Amino acid sequence: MKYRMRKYAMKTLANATTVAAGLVLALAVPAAAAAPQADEAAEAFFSRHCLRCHDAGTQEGGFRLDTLAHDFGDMTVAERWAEVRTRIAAGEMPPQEEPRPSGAEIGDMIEWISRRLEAGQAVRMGRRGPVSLSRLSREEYGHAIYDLLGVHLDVRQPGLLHEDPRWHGFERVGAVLTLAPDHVERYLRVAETAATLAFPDRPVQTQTTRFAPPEGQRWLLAPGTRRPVGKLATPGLYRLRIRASGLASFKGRIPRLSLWHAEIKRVLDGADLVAAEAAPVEISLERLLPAGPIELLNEAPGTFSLANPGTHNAVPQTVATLAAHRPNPRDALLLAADGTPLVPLVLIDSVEVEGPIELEADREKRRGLFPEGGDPAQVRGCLVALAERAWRRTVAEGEIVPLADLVARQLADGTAFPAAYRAAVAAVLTSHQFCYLREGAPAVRRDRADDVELAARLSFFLWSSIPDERLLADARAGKLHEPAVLAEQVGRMLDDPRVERFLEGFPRQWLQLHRLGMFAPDKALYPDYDGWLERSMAEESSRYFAAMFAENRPIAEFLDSDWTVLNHRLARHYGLDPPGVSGWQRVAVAGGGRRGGLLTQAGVLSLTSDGTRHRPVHRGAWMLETVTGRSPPPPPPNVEPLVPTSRDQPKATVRMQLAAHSSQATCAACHSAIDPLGFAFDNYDALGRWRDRERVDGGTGEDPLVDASGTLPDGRSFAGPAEFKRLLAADADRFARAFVGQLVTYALRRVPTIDDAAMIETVLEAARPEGYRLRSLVEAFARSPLFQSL
Amino acid sequence: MTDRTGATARTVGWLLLAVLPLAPAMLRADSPPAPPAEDVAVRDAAPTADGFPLPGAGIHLAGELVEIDPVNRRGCLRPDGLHDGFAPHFSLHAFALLPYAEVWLHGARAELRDVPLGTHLHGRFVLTPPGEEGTVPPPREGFVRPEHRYDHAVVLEDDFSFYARRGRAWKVESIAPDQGHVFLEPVGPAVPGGINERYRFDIDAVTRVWQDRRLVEVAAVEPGMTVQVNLGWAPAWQQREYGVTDIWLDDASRSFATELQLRGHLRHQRQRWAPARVDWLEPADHGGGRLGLTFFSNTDPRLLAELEAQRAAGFGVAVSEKTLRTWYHRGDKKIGKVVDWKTDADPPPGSSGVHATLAFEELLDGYRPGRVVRVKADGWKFVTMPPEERLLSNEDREKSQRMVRP
Repeated sequence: MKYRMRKYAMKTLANATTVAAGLVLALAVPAAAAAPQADEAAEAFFSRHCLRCHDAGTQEGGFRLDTLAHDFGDMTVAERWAEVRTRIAAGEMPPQEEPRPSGAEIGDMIEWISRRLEAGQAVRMGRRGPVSLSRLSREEYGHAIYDLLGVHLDVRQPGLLHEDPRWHGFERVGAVLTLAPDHVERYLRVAETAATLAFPDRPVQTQTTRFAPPEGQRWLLAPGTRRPVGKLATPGLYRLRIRASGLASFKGRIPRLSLWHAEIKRVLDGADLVAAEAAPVEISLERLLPAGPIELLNEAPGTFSLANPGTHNAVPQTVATLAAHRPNPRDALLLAADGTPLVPLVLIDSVEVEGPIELEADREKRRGLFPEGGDPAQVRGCLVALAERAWRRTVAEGEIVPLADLVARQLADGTAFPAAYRAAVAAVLTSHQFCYLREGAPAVRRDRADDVELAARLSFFLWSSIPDERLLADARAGKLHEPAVLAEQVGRMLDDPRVERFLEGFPRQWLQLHRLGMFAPDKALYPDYDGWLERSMAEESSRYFAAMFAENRPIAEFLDSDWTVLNHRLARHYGLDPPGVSGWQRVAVAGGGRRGGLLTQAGVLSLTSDGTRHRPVHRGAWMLETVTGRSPPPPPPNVEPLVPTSRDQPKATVRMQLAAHSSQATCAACHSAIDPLGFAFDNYDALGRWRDRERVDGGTGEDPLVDASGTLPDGRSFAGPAEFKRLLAADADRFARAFVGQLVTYALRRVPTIDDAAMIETVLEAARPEGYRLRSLVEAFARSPLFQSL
Repeated sequence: MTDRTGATARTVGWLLLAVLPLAPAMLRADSPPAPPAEDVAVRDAAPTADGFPLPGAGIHLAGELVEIDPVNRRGCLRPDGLHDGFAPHFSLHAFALLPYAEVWLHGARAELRDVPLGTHLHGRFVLTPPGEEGTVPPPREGFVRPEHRYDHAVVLEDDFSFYARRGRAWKVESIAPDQGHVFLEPVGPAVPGGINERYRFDIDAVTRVWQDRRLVEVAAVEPGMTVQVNLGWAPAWQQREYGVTDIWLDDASRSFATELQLRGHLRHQRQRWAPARVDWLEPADHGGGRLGLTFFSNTDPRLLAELEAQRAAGFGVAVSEKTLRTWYHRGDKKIGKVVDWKTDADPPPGSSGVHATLAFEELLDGYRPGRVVRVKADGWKFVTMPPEERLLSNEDREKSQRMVRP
């Protein structure tokens, strides 16, 4: 059976790739002949500094600049221009013996080439044939499986689907979501697993298992230590009831009781836990969980070696009470002399694991998709229903026949009926029609998506999943494009709980939050950094986005506001009063603009830092990309790294060191545009904590004071982050334009091109009167011609 | 640790041995304690768990070492001229060495185990520190003497060390091997608690005579020689007669004896690590924290110099007991980053004057203020202690805290 399944999957997915490539190759129009002309300054620069050696006469190095085309949409041409830029930026060209251009001239030249390369990149990526095929990201694949069959698969599990390649943080850009043979194997494995979970041989029984320490004892969890609580045989919805005490440290740090998957090595859920030793509480976690061993983890910063070499456990497994605990001197130090916990501690009395729990809503998703018996007509009927939902369109009888034949052949081979039927289900799920979004038609060139395509666009944009029946019904009826119908559907979708996938996924990809924790902070410098802080940092940004959406706030508040959302862990990190209630709270922030808005959130400030220090140039580049939608040119090769301050030199901030660095003509041009955007946040260390002085290792004297002042390219100056944020927020049009560009990338799976500019303006015009409120802007975009354009 | 590292450490050790003898700090550290104070308040000031004795605190007591518990650093002296000679053995002067107590043998630091039973020792004993009342059990009722209250030793020295460290030696006035005695004349300043007069000591065929770097016959002892001696039991001990166990005839023999003992001390400490006391602890609430340590004066300054030289690599710190026993030090230890190192000019008795501040990612329960730890330099080779030295359980630990009297 596996062989047949694999063959089917290989064939259908390979067909998709071939079709896509063939259509693009056959129908793509030649590169636009009308390349932009170099402006006069660039022409003058070339004449003065380049063409004497790189023209028809000399052709130094075999390279001619005078004939290099200006069609930046052509990959070969673009690569040559990139080489020209690199040579100029690196100072290699013009050669030392030739007259030197000024720093400003070099900067202008680099800027000129960069802009055109950037525009060309958009053209190259946007250049599409009449049919585009875009593979679902693995996240979308997982959501689609759940919405189709009501089974949860954590597709991020090791051995399942590959992590998707990203383009500037976006995981769903079709041009980079390629398909390799290994993908097919993995899709097959996931599809078979999903089919088995949805249609098992025997119904899975919900079980409750209780775990508890010996009578009179409690499990003790020191920070970072874990307690196994069973191995889940099947993925699904589970409910954990935990009776435990959570004791804050002597400095008020509270424990976080987290659910840890021992195979995936990831926290799946958790809760802050504050309860006196003598007054334990019961907390309940309800979560879709993957199969495998799960453990409870006291997720607080700290290293507690459980076992020393030999036989000694540094942290006791159980205690009756903390007061009765007689630590051995070589045990971990947990309690002060008066018995106060020095670190957050968790004492567990019992754990009940109930599951997998099958919800009626999940069963409902599968209703009508599984035939009661082997009757061929019934099998075909179920397969039609399944394929139409999975493939998001009406299917022809001819498309069902191979699937029905597959079931018949399996039965003929002696396979039991459920397994035979699952083979067809897996075939549906590995079909390119499920794994790919297909838009356009080879026969008729269209510039707008049809209703069925529009339904899929909407659902994958807002729900990261397949359309539901109501959306498909309007699409099948050909009414979805009607403004009233579309408005009603968009409104309904934005109210649906599934929109949370957009509210989490879009900010994560837009802000490139995947970079958070990429460089693990140095433990010596940041000893209280831990996984919960890292996740809280990311969650702050996505929850802030969700709160903006829920309240339909103006998007300028992404740049500057007097509020944020905090939990206990982040409040502690920021040095703010923890919110009175556990969990996430929307709080007003004072402090003269130190917090409020995305730009001063710890996550954003951390992802642009390395493990030891902040990196203002990276922060500036991130600002350019994220806030203005412009990509800075890459640094030239062989840039000298910053040298740590030597022992006998006065301590210098990174900014001071960069000042020397960027004073070189080849560097100054780019740095003058990038650096001020980063320097504005120099008051925040590598983890986003406020500081007045920058810590400098080595050197003499005091750590220097931070200088976060600067001047924007347009001449406006600022004294620090608060003023800088205000200046950015004042330019709402520019930010809104860039923001819609990011929505285009996310929703349309491609980079916006200059061809989109006019339609972007239309979206802006629709949202401008309300002051670019987030939900309204998303709604306007989803209803715009831009959203429907092919 | 590799053999190469061990070899490097040994090389560094020898280098320091050669280079550092004249360092001022070392000279201070090698100075003998101040004489016992006449002020009773000072004499009877018992050291606290987090402090060191006052200079001059305690009494001087000399006698023959007749029993030791080398693992727990305890023992008994039969004090010179004890009573009338008919006192029972359980009235001996039992003592426990304080964790910072120094033992000197042949002019170098030593362990109690290095001192042969029967060696005549001079000691400084202080009153029982608060909290240590149960460590040394009192003699049986009816046999208690006033000195028994001073049951914790700060310093123990053999006669060689006791006199040499105070600038005293002996001149051979005459020797009569056939009659079994030698007359010695004090050379140098009077030493409180010592013999400060011409004295007749017993010698016999067992007396070891050292000259240059070897043993020689007793005939090599000649009148007029300046010598050092170690003393032991003599049949008429009640009358304060002493037998000479060893006699060192020249500087070379004395230097060699000192050097040999120093080598033993250095090896012992490198294997068991330098003892120190936790002065303060600043725990963070993420498991780590900072620890302030003071090293004891019972560690030779060469070892402290090795620690200082290797501090960039951090120190391994294992919890210890007041007996200086550890649990499984090579496995228990945590590595601390040395963030500060400083030396006091005039440390109290028992303190080396060297203080270190260490930062840890993990803290152990035994890192509390007042407790003793043992500190390893990076270059010291890991060695597993023999089982009788290691503590295995809390019960084992409690048992080790009480001395068993003979």
